[in-house]
Amino acid sequence: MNKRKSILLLLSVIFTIAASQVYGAASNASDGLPAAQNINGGALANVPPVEVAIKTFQDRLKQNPNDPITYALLANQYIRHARETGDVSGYQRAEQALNESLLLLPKYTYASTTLASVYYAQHDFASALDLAQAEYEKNSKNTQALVIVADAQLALGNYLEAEAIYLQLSDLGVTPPILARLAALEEMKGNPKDGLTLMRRAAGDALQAGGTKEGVAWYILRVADMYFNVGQYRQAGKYYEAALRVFDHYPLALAGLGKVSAAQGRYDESSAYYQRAINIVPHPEYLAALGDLYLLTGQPDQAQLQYETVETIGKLAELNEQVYNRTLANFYSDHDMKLKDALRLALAELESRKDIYGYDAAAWAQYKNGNFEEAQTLIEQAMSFGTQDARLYFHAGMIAYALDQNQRARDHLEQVLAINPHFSILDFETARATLGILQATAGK
Amino acid sequence: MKKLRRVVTTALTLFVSFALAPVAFAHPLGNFTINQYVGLTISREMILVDYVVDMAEIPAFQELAPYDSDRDRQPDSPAIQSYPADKCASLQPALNLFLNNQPLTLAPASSFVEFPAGVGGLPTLRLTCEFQATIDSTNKALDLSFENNAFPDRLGWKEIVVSAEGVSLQGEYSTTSLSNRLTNYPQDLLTSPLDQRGVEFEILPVASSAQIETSAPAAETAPLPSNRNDEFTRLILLEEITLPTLLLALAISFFWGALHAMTPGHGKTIVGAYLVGSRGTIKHALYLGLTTTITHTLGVFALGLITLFAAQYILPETLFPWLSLLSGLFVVGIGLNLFSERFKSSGLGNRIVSLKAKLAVPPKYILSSAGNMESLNHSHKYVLHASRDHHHSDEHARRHPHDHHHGHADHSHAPPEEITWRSLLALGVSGGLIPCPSALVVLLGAIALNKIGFGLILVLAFSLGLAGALTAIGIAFIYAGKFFGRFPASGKVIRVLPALSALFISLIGLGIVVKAAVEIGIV
Repeated sequence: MNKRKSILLLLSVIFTIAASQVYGAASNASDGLPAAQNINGGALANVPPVEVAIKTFQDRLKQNPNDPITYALLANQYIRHARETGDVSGYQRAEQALNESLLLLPKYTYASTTLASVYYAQHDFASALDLAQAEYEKNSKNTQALVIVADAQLALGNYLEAEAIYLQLSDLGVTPPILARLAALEEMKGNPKDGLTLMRRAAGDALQAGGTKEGVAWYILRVADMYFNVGQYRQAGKYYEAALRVFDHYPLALAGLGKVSAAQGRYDESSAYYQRAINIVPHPEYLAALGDLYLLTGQPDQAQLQYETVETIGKLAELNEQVYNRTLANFYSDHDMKLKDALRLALAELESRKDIYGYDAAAWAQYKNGNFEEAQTLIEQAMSFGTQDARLYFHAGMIAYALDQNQRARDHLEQVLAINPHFSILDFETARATLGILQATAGK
Repeated sequence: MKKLRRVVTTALTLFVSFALAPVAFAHPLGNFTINQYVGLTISREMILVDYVVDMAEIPAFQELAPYDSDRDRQPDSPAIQSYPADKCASLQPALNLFLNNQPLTLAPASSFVEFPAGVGGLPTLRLTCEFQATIDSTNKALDLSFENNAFPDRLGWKEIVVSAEGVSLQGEYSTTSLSNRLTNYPQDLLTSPLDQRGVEFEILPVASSAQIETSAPAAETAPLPSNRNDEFTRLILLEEITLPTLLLALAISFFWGALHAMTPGHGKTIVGAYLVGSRGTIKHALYLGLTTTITHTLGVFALGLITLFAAQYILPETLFPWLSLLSGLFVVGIGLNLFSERFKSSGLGNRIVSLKAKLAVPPKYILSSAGNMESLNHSHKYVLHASRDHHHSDEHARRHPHDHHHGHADHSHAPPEEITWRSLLALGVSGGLIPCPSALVVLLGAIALNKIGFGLILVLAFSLGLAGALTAIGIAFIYAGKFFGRFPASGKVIRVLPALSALFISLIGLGIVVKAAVEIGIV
């Protein structure tokens, strides 16, 4: 080997090492999300608290009552208030403020686009879609309206339309909101790893970009959710804690921690987290989970109290025409309560909203009402995209078991334990026990 | 169905007055709020605490479920009898009363509970607790503070009201209940739920009939007259823009801009006064107007951009006090600068002073003619001085070339009273620094309606009107100065007036600074 060749070889080795280092660093940097324990909300202290912002805009309107712009800005803060506290009445106030704004300035694009987003938040997806579509047709530069169009399509189960729009929007700029939506789509299509990668990037970018504490905490919360959905409870817990550090009293993060500690068998801790979340906002899902925990730890009276509170909220929601239909249907089905109501609510919801969880809720309600054939048709619809969600597999498994399709039931239930065994506080035991029976009979 | 009927019957029998209402509405503040009212009544020997908790349907359900033996969502267990006393006792530790920083023991006096029907006959819960504490305020002042730490995480109305019986109180507190003890919540879009968690005040030893009370809600700034600005902001809604309507719109914008110049708080008196006080010419006045126009227009644009793109991060309102502060500091600086120069001139240039004395007029004279501009008397005295000086520089120089020459020659630095372009710039900027909120609204409206060009022109016209008024004031002063400068006058006080008036400019600037600093919360 001559000298020149060996130098060349040495150089190429150095170059390769350097390149791999650079590439490695670059691929780490592209994520941008710090380790969970290094995330805190310190850098986000500059945004005025929502109460202060609301007061400011209210004062401005008292001085200048015919100012449509401030009405729209006030509406935005009411939306923020609803997001931060979980008190949905904020959306009603936002709607009122936007209507005031549009009364003063009927062609005010920003106000009507925001109104579409309020409809979306109130789960009136059809109205949101119509309004956002109309706004986008008036002005093709209104990307905010286009995002709402896609979101509404997604909620209504029109996944292909939604995906096409998100991809179109990502050509204009890969922003955290777009990344988060693409991540949700990947998760839905059965690629949870890709979803997580996208979501981590969205959270990293959002943390860099700053904004409201709740806004940033939401991205971190979604990262935690995605870890939970693939059964990585430790990672999920860390990111839920990070979200809570960014925005304290964040009910979604508290409930997330409740979910994680229940999955890890720490029931007392889990109850405490759920209790804290409920003290901030008594969401039916948190109350149901707390009730399940009480049932699991041998406190049926306490469990009963939580379940009855859920029923009470359901009654109130019906009277106020609010939007807990699917949550309630699932709650009733899960707890073998009011099964006729569960089916009615789930089918009504499916009428207007044909997304995978709409099919799932209807399938589960049909199953609980003994209509196994119908249930299977519906659950197949729910799983048609290949979503790797333990809950869907559990329902499919139980339905198959009821129809004596034992091999199918076994496959599905094995998937449940492989994906996310603790997807539900109570159903984990059912899934394991049923699988045990199936394996025993298959072994014979 | 049977269950529902029973609920309704129970509701009807138990709460006739409520059930008679044709529709049962949701709790006005949302069905999971817990709302609290604290009424403190202070007398010479006693403090009475009137504590009311109003729970909406969901927390009321959670609270009452243990007392509902037949699961009809109505409390029926005999144990409910002891509920109010028990609940009041359990809440009492969260109500903290401090007398001279020492915790004061609250003794329960009475308790009462009722269950007004909410949505669908579901009960809400209204608990009333009375506590009392003894004090002795006969011969010494007492510091009293109160904190309500009950239900820390819950959304809801939190109100504290204080009233005095036979004692005087000093501090900031409300004396009337906005919610009428949680029975009538204000529901308009522009009122947020109160969040009063604590109150502090002093009990004065001697009871006097004239109580010193400052009520917090009343302390809010009075709203500006709104209809005036609305005329201007409505211009942006013009559907069709033709040449005549455009011209009309521009004229209206200009007019409102001029009117805006007359509203207080922009240091415009100072600007006008300085202009003429320092040998200003019409050229200077125009330059000043231009500076103000540009600053104001740029300020509106900048704030508009902030509102549009950073409203999430910064509220433009929070910038206003800072702008005021900056503007005030400008004025202080200008005043101090003038003062130091004039002070020197009043001591050193005796011949100048004697000349000034010859030309000066008694202060009152000018005051009466210029007094309608704005209320700052002292700046008008300064105007008086200003007019004399102007006279000195423009006309008198022709008649007394020697004196004039001397005035310039015996100082090594720039002659006093000479206008510097830099100080004019500073004044112009300080006058235009605080953008008019209506101009901001117009700009944002224009952007919202995709009529950006039109909005820019309107804002520019508005700023021009503002600056035009300012320039007009200046020019009026210049001519007034020339006119009054012809009257002979004398008096030693005139000698120090220039320096004094400069000092007053600084004081006015300081006033603006202090007011802004208080708003920001620095002092």
